[in-house]
Amino acid sequence: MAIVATHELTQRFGTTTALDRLTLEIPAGAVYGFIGPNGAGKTTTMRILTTLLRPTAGEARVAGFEVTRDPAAVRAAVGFMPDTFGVYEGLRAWEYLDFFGRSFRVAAQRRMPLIDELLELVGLAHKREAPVMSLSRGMQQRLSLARAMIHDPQLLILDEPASGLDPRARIELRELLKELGAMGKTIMISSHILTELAEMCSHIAIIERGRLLADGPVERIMRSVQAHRTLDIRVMGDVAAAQAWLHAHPAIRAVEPAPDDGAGRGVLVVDFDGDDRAQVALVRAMIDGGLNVLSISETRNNLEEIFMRITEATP
Amino acid sequence: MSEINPLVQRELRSRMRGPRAYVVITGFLAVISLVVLLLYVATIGVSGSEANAGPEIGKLLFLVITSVALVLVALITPVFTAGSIVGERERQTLDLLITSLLGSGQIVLGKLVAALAFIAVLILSIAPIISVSFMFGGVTPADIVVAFGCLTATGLFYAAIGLFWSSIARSSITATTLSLGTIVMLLLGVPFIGVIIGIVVTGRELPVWLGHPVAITVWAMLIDSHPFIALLLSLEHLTNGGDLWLQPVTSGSPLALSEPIGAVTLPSPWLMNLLLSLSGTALLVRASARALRPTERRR
Repeated sequence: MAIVATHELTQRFGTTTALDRLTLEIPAGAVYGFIGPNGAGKTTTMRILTTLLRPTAGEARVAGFEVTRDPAAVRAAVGFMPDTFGVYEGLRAWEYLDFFGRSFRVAAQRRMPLIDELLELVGLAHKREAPVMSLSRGMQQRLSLARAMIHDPQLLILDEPASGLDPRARIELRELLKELGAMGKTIMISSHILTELAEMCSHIAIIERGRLLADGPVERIMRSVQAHRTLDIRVMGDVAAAQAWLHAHPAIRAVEPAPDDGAGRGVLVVDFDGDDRAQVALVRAMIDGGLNVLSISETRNNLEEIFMRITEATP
Repeated sequence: MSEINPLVQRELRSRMRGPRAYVVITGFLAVISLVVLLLYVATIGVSGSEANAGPEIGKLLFLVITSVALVLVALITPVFTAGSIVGERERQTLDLLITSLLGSGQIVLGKLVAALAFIAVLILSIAPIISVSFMFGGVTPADIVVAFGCLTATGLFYAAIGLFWSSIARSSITATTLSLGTIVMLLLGVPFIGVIIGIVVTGRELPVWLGHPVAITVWAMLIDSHPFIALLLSLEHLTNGGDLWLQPVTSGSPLALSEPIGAVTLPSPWLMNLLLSLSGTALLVRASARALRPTERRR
């Protein structure tokens, strides 16, 4: 079942079209990466899904509820973490969570144990009594995530959660999100930095200038984009001869020594145009051709390359 | 049992933790005490030997303390509320509140009640100073009801004015400026209109429709909307042996520049002021709640 479904969602601000007939679906349990450059419409989409913005046209449903007709039900189903951390002066970490727990009508007897569980989950149990203002940016971000989960929402919407975090805090956040994904939470997460999302997403959508360029499970997107694949081939002996032989092969577009092959390990990076069957044929031909092949491995293209390739294709 | 509005609890918790609350209360009481002290020294010197000086000094002290407190409440209250909602916007926490299950009315009321709770502390804190005036006699329980009625009405309505601008403005400074501007307009506007009308009607015969009960009521509402005028009129009314709750109002009163052509019994000025403030507050709270969630305006 789709937790989020939008249909022809459009948002205009004056003459600017921030979202142009966006239609997408987020299946339950997905970790959905929402990727696009700054100003692509990611935040606009998230603000509509969290009832902060009324769309100009189109429809958006969250957990089956239409966002403009049943905003209260949508709010109950969504935990939202905006791209900024709102700080309240003079509140301690537990009080911050307690306030939002009350705001989401979490029953009093359930609230205290829940706050402790959440602080434990985000690794802030030792900061329970610390003033919110005194926490580091990474800690504030994790506290914000705990806040978004205080009412046990079906969907977490996280807008650029890793922006402004140092590498360590970034890694901690990523591990935390992986854990949440494993717990079965549906997570929609946006970023303009693709490598941030590469490891943790099950699905991705690529958006640019308000339009959806591609969306679906990560493997499918990769397959559809990867008409050709990148192979790392390690050979023993005369590397230059091997390079020349590979270069002459009709299914091979380019051959280059691996950039980090300063040690002379004999690794060639091959841009190969073909499917699994063609790859088997290539291996056989290499052996028959007398190449001393030590190993062949397929390099997975990362999201960054996919994104560049998809956005390149659009006018 | 339903819990206390979470915003009220949070606001009070964080407000009373910082030094600001104590500074404001201390400053408030210091100003009033200073005025009382100066006035006391001045009046003792002048009328120390007269036998009936006591009650008069008492009444004067009472009036001055109440007026100074009213001025301070009129200035402090809107400053407190003007930052409340726009402050959430500036801290980028407003989105978090709006996406919670708190209704926009609950958000606005929570802010108002939290501000009023603090104003109530201010108003109640002057009780020991006011009690100085009791020592001289001349101050009745009805006077005290009037004073606290006017202070409460002003605190409430002016808090709502600050809250309204806070829900619309994009920055705290704009909201504070607009709030204080509105209040100055209200405080100066009513006397200004009174003076203009006074100039126009002096010595002339009033048109008959001005003697109609509705016209008299509207006129009284305008006059009594001014907290200082309402306070003075009510205290004077009591001094002249009038009723605490009701008063006869004639056309053109309290100016009495031409012959009255009609009369009607209306709530006492302080009560009228309180009723008007309550209605104004209700309207402003509603408008603020609407401004808070523009996405639901078309529902």
